[in-house]
Amino acid sequence: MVLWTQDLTKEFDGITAVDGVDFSLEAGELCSVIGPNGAGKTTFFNLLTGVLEPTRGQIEFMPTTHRRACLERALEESSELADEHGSVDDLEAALDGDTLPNEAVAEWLEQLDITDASPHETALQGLHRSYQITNVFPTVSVLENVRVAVQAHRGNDAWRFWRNVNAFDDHYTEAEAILERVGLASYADRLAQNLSHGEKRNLEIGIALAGEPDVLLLDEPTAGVSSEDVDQVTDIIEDVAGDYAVMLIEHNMDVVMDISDRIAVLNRGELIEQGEPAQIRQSEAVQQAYLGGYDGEGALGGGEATDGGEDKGGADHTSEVAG
Amino acid sequence: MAISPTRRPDGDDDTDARGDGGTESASGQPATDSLEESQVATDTTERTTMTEEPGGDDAEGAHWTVQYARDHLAHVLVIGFFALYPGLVAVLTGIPALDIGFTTVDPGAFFDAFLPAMTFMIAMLFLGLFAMSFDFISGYTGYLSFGHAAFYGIGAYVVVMAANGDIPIVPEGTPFMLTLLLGATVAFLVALAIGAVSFRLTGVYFAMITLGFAQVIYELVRNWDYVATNPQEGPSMSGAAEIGIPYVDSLSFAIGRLAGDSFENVLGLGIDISATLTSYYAIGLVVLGCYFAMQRIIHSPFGRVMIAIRENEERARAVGYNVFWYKMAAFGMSAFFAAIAGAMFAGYRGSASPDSTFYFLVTADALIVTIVGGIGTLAGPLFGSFFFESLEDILSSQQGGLAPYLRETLPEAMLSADVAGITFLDVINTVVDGRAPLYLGIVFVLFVLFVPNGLLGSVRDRLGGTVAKRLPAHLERYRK
Repeated sequence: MVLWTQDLTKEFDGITAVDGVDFSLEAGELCSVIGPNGAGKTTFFNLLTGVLEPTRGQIEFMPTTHRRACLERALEESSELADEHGSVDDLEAALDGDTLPNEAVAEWLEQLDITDASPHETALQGLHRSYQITNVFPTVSVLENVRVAVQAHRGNDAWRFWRNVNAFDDHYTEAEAILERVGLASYADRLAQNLSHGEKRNLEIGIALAGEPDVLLLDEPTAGVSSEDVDQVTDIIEDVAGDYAVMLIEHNMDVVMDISDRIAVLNRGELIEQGEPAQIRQSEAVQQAYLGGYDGEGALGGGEATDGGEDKGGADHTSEVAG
Repeated sequence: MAISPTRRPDGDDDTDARGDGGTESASGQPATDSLEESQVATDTTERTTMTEEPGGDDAEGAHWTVQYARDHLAHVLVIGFFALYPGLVAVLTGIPALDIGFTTVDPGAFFDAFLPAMTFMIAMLFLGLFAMSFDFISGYTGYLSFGHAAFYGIGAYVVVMAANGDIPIVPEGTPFMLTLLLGATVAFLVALAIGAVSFRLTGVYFAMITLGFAQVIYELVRNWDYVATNPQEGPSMSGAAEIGIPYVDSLSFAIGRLAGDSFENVLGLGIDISATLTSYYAIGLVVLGCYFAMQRIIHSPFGRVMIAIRENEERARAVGYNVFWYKMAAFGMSAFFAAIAGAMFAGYRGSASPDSTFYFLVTADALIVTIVGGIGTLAGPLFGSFFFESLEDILSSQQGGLAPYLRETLPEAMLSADVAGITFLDVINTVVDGRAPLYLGIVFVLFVLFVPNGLLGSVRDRLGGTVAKRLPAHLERYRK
């Protein structure tokens, strides 16, 4: 597991946006977070990345580099382990291959508590996100958008104010590789503000990828993307999900059901259900949340709400908050 | 728009994709395509240059220097212009009047009226450097520092007080160059202190709180009788300020209108360099050094973080930058250079006063020339400042100027022509003579409305990139 939350709660003046969420994310997993509008999905992301401070609860994180450091210490301190597994790589392989139970190293595996970490700290530890509303650096080039994000992870490079930026070839090489991956290589010199909406959404993901994330939080990557381009965004998500643990907020149910390993459903800040796509599809609680709402006898009676669940949910939510 | 750090309306406006947005480092590609193009174009000329080299094995070096010279062509031209300007003025204003029968044509007087005199050019240098430092934080990091005059004032007061032996640990007679650095360092530290409080805020609130700090310091200095016997007038400097290498007399040049060094018959060429001219070149060198230092920072990874903060602070934080410390460092550096400008101002004038240094209208001047020159372009403020001082020179009657020119060249009958009790002479005296601030205000409004990217910003939009990068390619086109 790479990420845990325990009783994570955020209250805004009487509204509980996230309500006692216990959640965990496995390494390499693609977990979608769904729920009606206003369910607290984005707030949940904001809590994880440190943009908001939780009212209650805890967030713990186990980035790869930190895990390796822990294992290294385990090897140093336990001769038993050191005899059996010569290097950190061996030990990792044994753990991942289930030949060694996690309990054997549990006493050295200390998770990082990131409950009170600020956004730049969570980012440097490997928790990266993209935004629901496009949030790039508009009047610089597409390449520079990604390059400056790469630079953030190169230790003190960003403080070398006496060297020309062009001297840092590795920043450019990596940024170009990322642009290649998100399909924007041919737009590298364009200003970010001149990209089309779909391209900007890809750039969003590209910037998030630049930080060598352990966990990638994608907030509605297909928001506003035309139906033809959704496939392309989905391809990118599936591609990066092979390398990182991904949490995905998404309203497009086809995408969610198609690519998720697991789905977590939030409603009014509570985690009401989680499981494999098929299981979620059958879940009564989820259908209730999406279609029925809470004061929603009328909505159910209306009957025709099926795929349009997100709109319905939005309508329900406004009435909920108002009430 | 005037106080908005964003240089373009946001949203998907249909700006030309090549457009650099007037932003110094908007295009991040390592090699500039324009240069490569021009390289092909000039291959032949280059080869000829190379064969002219005495040893053929020097070809690599020649190529490198040619490339370097081309990269800096714009700089060379601008520096060349300012370096030759005094000579140009001397020649043009020296053209004798010509009697062509019915009237006399006097081009010398014309140039005298319209070309800024050297005192204005020196003022341009202080103001230009100060505005560049203002632009460094406001145009690149997006935080409008309305209290920037505080740093200018600190630089000015530190050098004057140090020269007077009023700063405790600094011995009297410490070279000006060292007290200048001391002033800059003090400003840097004060900026960190002000920044520690102010960077909790953004936008208009940041501008207001820095303005507040500057006004507090202004009032303090104005009423603190330690700094001067008459603090409202400010202290005068004892001795002359010398720019150059400290403790090396032959490489130090005194600046100041009266106290400055003057040289007669330099190198036996029959050229006299007056005190004003010495000051112009000495101050110009310091400004040039500061410009290159700031440009270096802007083009460094650190500078890119500054731009990222201006573009989107939330995202900069989200990708892993502790933006607070980047803003603090940028603010400190900006204050450092502002103080150097202030120190040279005081050194040249031989005095400092609260109203010419710490007062908030000093910041306003920097803001105006920055907008006119192009906010978010480092050299822009210098051109804005040149524009500003030219206008001031034309509209004042201090050294040449429009009003005396009109009074002398227009026929007497026209000057005394009387309409409703007002003569044309009255009109000149009222609306032209010494009215620079009025017209500057109008120019400023027009710039904000119609040239929001400023002089340099607009040129960049036109060329599709920074002038330094695009100019060589453009020139090549005409050479063929």
